[in-house]
Amino acid sequence: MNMDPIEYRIHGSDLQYVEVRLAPGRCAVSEPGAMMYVDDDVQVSTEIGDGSGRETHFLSRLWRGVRRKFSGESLFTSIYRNDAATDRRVAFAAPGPGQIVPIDLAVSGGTLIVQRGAFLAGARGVEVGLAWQKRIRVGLFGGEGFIMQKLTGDGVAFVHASGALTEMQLAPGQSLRVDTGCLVALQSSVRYDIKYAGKIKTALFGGEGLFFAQLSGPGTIWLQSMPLKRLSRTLLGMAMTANPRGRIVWFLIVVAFAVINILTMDMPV
Amino acid sequence: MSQHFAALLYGRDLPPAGLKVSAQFVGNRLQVGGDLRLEAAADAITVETGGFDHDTLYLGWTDATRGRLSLAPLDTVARATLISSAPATLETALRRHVRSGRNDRGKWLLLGGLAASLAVLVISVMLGYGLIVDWAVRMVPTEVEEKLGKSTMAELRQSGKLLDSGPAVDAVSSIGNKLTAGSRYHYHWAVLEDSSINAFAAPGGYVVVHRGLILAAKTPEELAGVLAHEVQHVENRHTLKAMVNGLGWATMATVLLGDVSAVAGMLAYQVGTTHYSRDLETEADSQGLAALVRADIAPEGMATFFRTLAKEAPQMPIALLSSHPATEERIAAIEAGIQALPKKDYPPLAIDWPAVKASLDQDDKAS
Repeated sequence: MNMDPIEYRIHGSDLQYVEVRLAPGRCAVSEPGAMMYVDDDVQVSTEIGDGSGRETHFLSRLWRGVRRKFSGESLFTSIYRNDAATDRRVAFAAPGPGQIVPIDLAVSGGTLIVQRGAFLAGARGVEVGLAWQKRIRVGLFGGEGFIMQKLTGDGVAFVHASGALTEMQLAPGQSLRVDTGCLVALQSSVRYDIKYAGKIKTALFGGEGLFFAQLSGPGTIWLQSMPLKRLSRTLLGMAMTANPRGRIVWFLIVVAFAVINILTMDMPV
Repeated sequence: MSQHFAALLYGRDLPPAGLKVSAQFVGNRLQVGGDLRLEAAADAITVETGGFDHDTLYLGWTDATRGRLSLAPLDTVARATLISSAPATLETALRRHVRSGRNDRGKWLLLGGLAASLAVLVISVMLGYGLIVDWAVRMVPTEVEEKLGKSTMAELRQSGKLLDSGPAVDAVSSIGNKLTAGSRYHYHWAVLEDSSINAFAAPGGYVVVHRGLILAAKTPEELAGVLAHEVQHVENRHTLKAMVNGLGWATMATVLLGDVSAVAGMLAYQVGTTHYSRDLETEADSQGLAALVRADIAPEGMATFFRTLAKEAPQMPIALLSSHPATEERIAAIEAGIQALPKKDYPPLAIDWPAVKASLDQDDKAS
């Protein structure tokens, strides 16, 4: 599989987009709907599956598409091919506040496991698959669920997550405790486990939950500072306190239904 | 005799994805080939399980110059070679690693088994729903039903509209007793001074007929048809069944939907209970016909009376939500049931029907 090396620049600070420069004949792939702008002469097509071009049979491509779908991506992939004689640009925007990090899969040993839906775009040949969490307790309490994405290939993949993103190297035997949900990506050589917070008091009042994700080296991990779960909890709390009328309306609907129900009850004839 | 295996070496100064090396055990020492030329004593090596799937084997040791190092076999062949060629000091640790890889298989099997048995339970509850309700109802003794019926009657009596004697009550009880000969219930018959066309049965054998129904019935056989229907509600403990069913639906709605979607819960509850009560009405109709035949009373009265009822009562807007079978449907079912019965001449009921009606008219004037 020959990968398409691509040049790119990431713009913006908190609401980012990545501009990719395509050499003539080169391709980039992205999630449908991620494209922000594209130069003329760039052919845009949509393929079922991950657009890696590896599978030619329709059913096997469809199966790959379904697996992609489970990993939080679309069934389809958009492919951008430069048909012109000179370089052309295409840009992909992040779907929310946060950062885009370029990860060279060749440096990561060809495989990277990322949070569901974190893949934004990449060089052609980057395959998006499914990484099934075989550890039940990690799946339940690890904060990432049972399904993550597995990116394979040796090109650059652009991964997006909310908040600030940081990359960390874990030496052999080095462990890091991470709040569940803050994990964005990890190399497959990293051990991903959960650790009981240890103290009920910490769990209840420390606000960190009952479990930590424990990541042990060797390998590289990427962390996000603001998981969407945390953000949505904050926003939901604000929405509820800001709009007490909503709850009253629901209560009235329930009461009205109960009254109607009682009034329309009848005796058997 | 030494065996080489391909491996990835991880360390502080090495590439993050690991460095591809060739390694082998020589006696009690691990040798890592290539440019590195590393060596470690087997008793200084720890066996660790790592990787995303917790199935990667890592041999870890501390090197004097390079610090902490980790070596992982590149593939399954290399892994097998490593395990088979490892010195005895590492054997127990390696065996523990192999075992730990199988740990969660049992858990997944258990989880799958639990899910499957839950599915079986749900399906069997759905299929055997009637049987479960029947069983629950059978647990209730007849005395409890009597008490329920008695308290209902006591409330009615307080309204002062309940007739316990008179030609109308006599007519109702003479027909009713014919229908209920040999029953385990002790029946009480009464007439309620209410001009609407209705009749109902309270559990434990209390049957009440509205005055309006008697006035609307053209023959005593029509009254017999209604009574035969009502008696089946008592005999088959329909009130209790409806209560148990309602309880079941309410519980299920709460369990499945939680208290968040209270509206949806009540909808499910209502659809569930009304559908159930329609089933019970249909059952009472068909068994009522059989009771009429047993009591030697012409069954056509039931059909003709429900025809009258169909004209009086407005059509229910939504068939599914009505607590009674759609009237047309119901009459058709009853008529089909009558057709299926063997042809027979039934003796007319020996009741002076105009006199019974007249007695009620007089009561009306008196009040």
